[in-house]
Amino acid sequence: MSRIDKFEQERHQLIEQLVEKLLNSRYEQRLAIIDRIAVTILRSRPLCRRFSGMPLTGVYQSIYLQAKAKLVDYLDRQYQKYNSIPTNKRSSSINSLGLSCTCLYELQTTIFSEILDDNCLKKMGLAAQKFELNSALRTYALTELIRAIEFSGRLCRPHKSKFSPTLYQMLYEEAIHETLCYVCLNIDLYDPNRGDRKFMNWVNFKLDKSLLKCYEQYNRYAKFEIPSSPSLNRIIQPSAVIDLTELLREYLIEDPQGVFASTHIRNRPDANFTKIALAKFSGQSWEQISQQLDIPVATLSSFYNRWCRRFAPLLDTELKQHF
Amino acid sequence: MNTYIKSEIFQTNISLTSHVQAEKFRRYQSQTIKAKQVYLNTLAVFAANSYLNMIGWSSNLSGGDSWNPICQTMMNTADLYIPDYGKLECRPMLAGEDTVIVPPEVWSARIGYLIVRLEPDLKSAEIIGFARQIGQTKLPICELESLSEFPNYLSQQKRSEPSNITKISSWIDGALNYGWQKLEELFSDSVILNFRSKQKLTQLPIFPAANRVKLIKLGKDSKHTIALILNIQPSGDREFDVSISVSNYLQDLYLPEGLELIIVDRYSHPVMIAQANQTETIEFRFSAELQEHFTVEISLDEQLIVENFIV
Repeated sequence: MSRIDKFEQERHQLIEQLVEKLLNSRYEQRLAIIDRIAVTILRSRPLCRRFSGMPLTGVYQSIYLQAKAKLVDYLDRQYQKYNSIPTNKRSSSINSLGLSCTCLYELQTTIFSEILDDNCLKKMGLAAQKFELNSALRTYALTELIRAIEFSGRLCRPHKSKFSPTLYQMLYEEAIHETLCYVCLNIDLYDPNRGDRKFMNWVNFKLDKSLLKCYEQYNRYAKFEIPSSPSLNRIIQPSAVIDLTELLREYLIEDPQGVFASTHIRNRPDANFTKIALAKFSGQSWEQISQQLDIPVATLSSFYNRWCRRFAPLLDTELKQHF
Repeated sequence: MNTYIKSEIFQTNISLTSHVQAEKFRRYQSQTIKAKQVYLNTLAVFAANSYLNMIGWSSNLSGGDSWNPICQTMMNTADLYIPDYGKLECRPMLAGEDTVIVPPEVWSARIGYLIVRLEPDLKSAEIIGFARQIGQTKLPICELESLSEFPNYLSQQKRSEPSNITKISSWIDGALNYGWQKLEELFSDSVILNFRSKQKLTQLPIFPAANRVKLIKLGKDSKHTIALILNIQPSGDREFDVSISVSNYLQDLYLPEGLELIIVDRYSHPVMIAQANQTETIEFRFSAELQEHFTVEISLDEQLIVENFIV
């Protein structure tokens, strides 16, 4: 993170220098400098980032160029405003153009949200479809799309009046999450000719349904209290619950088919599956078991892992009746 | 917004559904430490699943060991299965810690490790990076690779060949499968005679038998060449006698010490298990019905070869 902060700092210093240069330049030179300020600000843009350092193309390039044009326009207006102030009342700092660190991000999101109309989002959706499933480019396109949907402010807020604000916020967040996952997993199902040809109709239709589904789930689990990590250290299990460790321990010792005790590490009949499993169940660490048996941890754990996987279906079948 | 993707870190709320599932799994455990481990592992798998879905990857949430209460009890595992790619391990850690625990039982059979940092209130989680391989129990988070590299890494993990199922009854009609040869193409007549003589007692002349052999490289630098030989012979309308054997391809040599041959039946139960110890050949025989599935596993130390068959 510190590396990223450093970039941020350097970028901001550069913007400061450019602003200072702008304020000390002649009027005719302003546009070239404003252009450079805009490009520098957009280096930290929240959207249309480059993929692996490659130049932007297609819809991403088009959005970027629109954002830059808007930003140049904004900066020019700020500059004109500054110029209209009598010389003796001007303060010559970066804040004179309204470019403090905090508002740079806000400024960019505002600009992007103005550009991201439904047509734009549709083009991004179609761009994602073109990339091969499970490719890094598909991931890039979907990440851009999700961010764009969020910035666009075009997600609806369905069934809002039916719930209290707190409950609604919780349901809404979960529904958004579910909807965006759906969009990413099913982008190939998006048909640009359906839903009145609006991309967000497709998304919002799903959001509407997700919200109701989340409410249904909320109702079902209304009594569930989410534990914190420290509270999990304190919970004592009710005794009525099946104890799988105990069940497994008994079954391994009983070994009705004689498979567990006869499966052992090569040349070490004493280091059999039962012995290692029971040691694990009793809470011993791999290092402790390794010392006792004088067998390296890697050998022990890979043997144990392999046989757990092989025995799991058998144990499942045999013990299923108990849980 | 509850989900935030920056390419370096993925942040998400932990859903109520994940908590409910985690609680369901937790209740199988009586020891508090184990119970908490199962709970956090489940949350980590859910969070990693969210992340994968959000970058367009489908995963099989309930297909891993982490979703099986028996495996949860036997191992400290938080695996997530991605069809056609393999298993990802999703290791949980708590915010404020600077190392993540990766237990030895999950060091193998994984295509990668996603590290999931949970807030102590267990309401939100972050995927903070990944590792390709693990060789130590305590992994400092400063050694993690950036999550922005992960999609590219993952897309390269696709298995080159899908797991084939070899239909062995079609051998009787002369069918050939890639990688399998007829015995006579590979061995001299005397060796084949030796192999066949073992079968003679059960052989009925009216039913033609078929055999195939596959050579398998095992051991360090593939120094052992093992011949896996299957013999199939009809014994009734839909019944077949099947014999499976392994021996060293170079004659008169023992099988490598500790080599295991395991036959797994259609319910995934290991039904026949043998380990080589100054052994020339391991042979299993059983009868099987048409369409019956079984799997042969050959392993030597950490290596594992799996062959799937249908009669």
